[in-house]
Amino acid sequence: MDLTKLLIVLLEVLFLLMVSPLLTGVVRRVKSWMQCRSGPSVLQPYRDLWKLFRKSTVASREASWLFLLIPYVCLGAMLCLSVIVPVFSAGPAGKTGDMLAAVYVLGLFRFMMVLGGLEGGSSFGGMGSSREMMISAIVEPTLLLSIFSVAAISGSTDLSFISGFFASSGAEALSPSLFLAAAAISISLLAENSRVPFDNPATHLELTMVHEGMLLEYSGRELGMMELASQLRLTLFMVILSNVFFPWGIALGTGVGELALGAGSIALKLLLISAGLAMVESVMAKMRLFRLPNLLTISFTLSLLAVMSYYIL
Amino acid sequence: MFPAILPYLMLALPLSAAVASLLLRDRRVGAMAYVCAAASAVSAAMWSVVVLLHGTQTYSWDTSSVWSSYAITLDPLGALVLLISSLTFACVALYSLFSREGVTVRGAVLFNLFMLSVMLAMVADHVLLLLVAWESMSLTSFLGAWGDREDQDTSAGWRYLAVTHFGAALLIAAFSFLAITSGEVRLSAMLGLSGSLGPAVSALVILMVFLGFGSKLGLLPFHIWMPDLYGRAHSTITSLLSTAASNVAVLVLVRTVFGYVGVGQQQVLALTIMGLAALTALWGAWQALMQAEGSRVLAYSSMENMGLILLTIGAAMLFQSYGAGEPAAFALMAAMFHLVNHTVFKALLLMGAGTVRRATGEGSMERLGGLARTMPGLSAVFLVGVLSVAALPPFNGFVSEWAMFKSLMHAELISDPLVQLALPLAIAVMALCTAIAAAAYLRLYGFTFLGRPRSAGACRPRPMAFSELFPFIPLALLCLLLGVASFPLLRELAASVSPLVGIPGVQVVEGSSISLLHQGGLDPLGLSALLAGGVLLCYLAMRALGPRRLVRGDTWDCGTPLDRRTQYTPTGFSQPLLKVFTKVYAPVTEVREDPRPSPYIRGVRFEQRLPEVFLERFYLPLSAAAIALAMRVKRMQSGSIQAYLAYIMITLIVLLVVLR
Repeated sequence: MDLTKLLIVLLEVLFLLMVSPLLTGVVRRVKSWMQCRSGPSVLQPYRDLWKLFRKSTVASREASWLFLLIPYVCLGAMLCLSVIVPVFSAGPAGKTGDMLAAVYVLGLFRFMMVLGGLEGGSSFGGMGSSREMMISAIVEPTLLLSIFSVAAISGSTDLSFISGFFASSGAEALSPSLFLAAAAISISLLAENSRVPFDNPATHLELTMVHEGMLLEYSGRELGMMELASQLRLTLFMVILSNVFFPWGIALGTGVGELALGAGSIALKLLLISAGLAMVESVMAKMRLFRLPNLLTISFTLSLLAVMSYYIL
Repeated sequence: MFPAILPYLMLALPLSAAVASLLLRDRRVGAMAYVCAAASAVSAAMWSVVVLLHGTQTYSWDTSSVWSSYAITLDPLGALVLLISSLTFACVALYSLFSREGVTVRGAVLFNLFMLSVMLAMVADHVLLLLVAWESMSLTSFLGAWGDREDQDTSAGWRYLAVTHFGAALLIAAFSFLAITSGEVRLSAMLGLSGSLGPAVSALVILMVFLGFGSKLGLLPFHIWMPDLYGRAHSTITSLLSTAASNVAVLVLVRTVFGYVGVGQQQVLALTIMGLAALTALWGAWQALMQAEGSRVLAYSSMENMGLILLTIGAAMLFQSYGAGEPAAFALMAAMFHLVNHTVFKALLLMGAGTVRRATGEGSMERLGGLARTMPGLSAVFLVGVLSVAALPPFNGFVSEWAMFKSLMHAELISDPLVQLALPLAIAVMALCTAIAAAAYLRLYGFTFLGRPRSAGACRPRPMAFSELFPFIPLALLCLLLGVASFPLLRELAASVSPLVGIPGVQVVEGSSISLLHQGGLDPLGLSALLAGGVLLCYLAMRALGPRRLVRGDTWDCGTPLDRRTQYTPTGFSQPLLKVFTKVYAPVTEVREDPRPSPYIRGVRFEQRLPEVFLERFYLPLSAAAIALAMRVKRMQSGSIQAYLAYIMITLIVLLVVLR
């Protein structure tokens, strides 16, 4: 790995870290506009994080050594993922990890977060963990199958390669299975990041909560890290979605102009996806827990069809 | 020369230790026997390294009997499996030696004999030697599992014995047939017999071998012995049975299918095997999620892992049958790598589950919890095992599962539409299995080690001495090492499976990254470094913000003090998934009014049971039919000597007429 590549990767990680809280702010702001409220500033998530990072931590007496380690592993896993995922440059393919490995890193994040929910023996944590595992048991296969279909079309599971392939091949790479896979990944994005209709990130009611339930025992600095890690995860999902399915504008070389264009286009795409997410969350209601498997099964079927249609058509 | 005596040491040490402890019947000799076992395991590991460095070695012993010369051969593939198996053996031997309840002579003898038969089966190069070692493996594990329990419920042991002997019968038939048709008793002399056998016969032989070894691997529907045996038997035996015995089965299966018989054009057979393996893996994952006892979760998890391995081997057969040698080699490599990884983490987990059971006196997760605070050392090594078995980076299960997934992604190389539908389905099954199994392992760890203790035994577990924890540490380190630095092993594996698929050498490892056909790769070392770097960066960033001020408080309780019952239970945890997959589990629910003396209190009892479908629908009718048949035959047994004389005479006359 040469120096320019290293520099680009560093820039990308910094970009993701900086932009993640902003996107959360944008989603909240757009949602409040949809509800005819003015809403908090888009910078509010930064202030929240800064406040949390400086606060002292309260941990349950019944929590073990693992409890305080989990936020570090979760945030570390997301940082690792931000290195693997190409953001504004589909530069020379790094072989550190492909999309399959990315799914496993996401799996590590989820596994650790769910274990954190079981710490302390809180009923809310147990409930959130249990629901999260139900959702992830179907989301993970969906993700892997969608990756398989994308890999079959482009001939690689490497993210940089895929982005580069679709960016340079243009319209002839468009195929029905690509659309099916995009739909499946979009549903997975909502499920994996605990958004409406799977979970409501804005409430703390035990009837609705999945993600917040698992974080209930966390406070102070550790809570801030978990929040940042979750925001980063949402951003990474959006980046993967846009760089796989609409990679136009991504830098294929290492020229400064190209990189600036790549950064500009990914920023625009992230804003658009965030706005779309806010729209979806505003017009949909949270689903009853046991109706979620239907939706998840639909996304699973879509991803299976994506693979099948590639080979049949 | 020193390396030349290693195989002798490997085989003679356990044999003499077993004989000595059997004769002297002294517990100190029993303890020495475990030391001998560990020494034998170490010499096996050293022999494996010698073979890996210098190539295949054969030792033969000429006799003038009809069975010609007995021989043992260790090829590089066998050496890799033997290396990891013997390291695991050494750890399990230390675990038994340092176990708090002490050493029993019986346990030591059976351990040594079992180990001897496993090692012999791995290196046997003679049909008879292989079959004898296989049988002795079954018998010693049966005795070990049966005798260690004080209660008299032996049905689990008998089920094991019945199923495993059904498998052994198939194996004896298949291998005798191979020996007779090829005219060779040396296994290494058989090579690609399918040409002379014809497609139908070789398919039959492969299927028999597959089902025969499958009986030990928990292949559907041969799995019924596993959960009960694992739930009851001592963890020493189960940790060897689930790992070493499976290794023998898969190793000899791969050698037989790809080497002795050869795959030929068996597409349908490969698809059948993949289907059966996929069902096995799914069933294992589903059942693992619903078990209450840790050891039963691990039993079904073995079933799931072996299902995935057999699925990948089936895929390798499929590729091979279409002449795609490279993906076949990659799939075989992935399957064998997962096999050795499974050995390490499953031994660690089963030993851990056994230790928990003995320290707390509780087997069910419904009565455990909070052990991470009272047994921090065990909880840390167990977490390593759980993360490995759940295939999470940077541990070994992740690398091998990644490789197994990757190996299924070569559908475009084969233009047959049947295959192009079968492989995506296989991926879907594998993905579903791993996701469900991850939930099962999470539940196993979370409800054993986290939360509040759910019983008095879990409140105050017996403290663990360092010597008890010690055998876990090498296994945990091996889990990490095989994950982070897997590339030398994978390079060796790829080289050692390529002769089986008939191509000179497959290049899968470049530097430290693994890939095939430029389809995107994985660098386990780099990924682990990134993960570690990320965690370290978080730590440093938080340190820079100032020291952490930590206050201990109560768990959030909404104002009601929490006790050991007011928390989630393992049953509650898996309830949503039970509801999602309710067609699979078909739970039998019973709600009935409970008569109470008081008219003001209405009692309701709720009971839910998950039926064991295969036992109730398949085995019980089968055994009922067998018993009914036996009762009919019994009428012949009148007990009078005249009747028996008449039978003999009739038999004689019939034989004389028929064979005249």
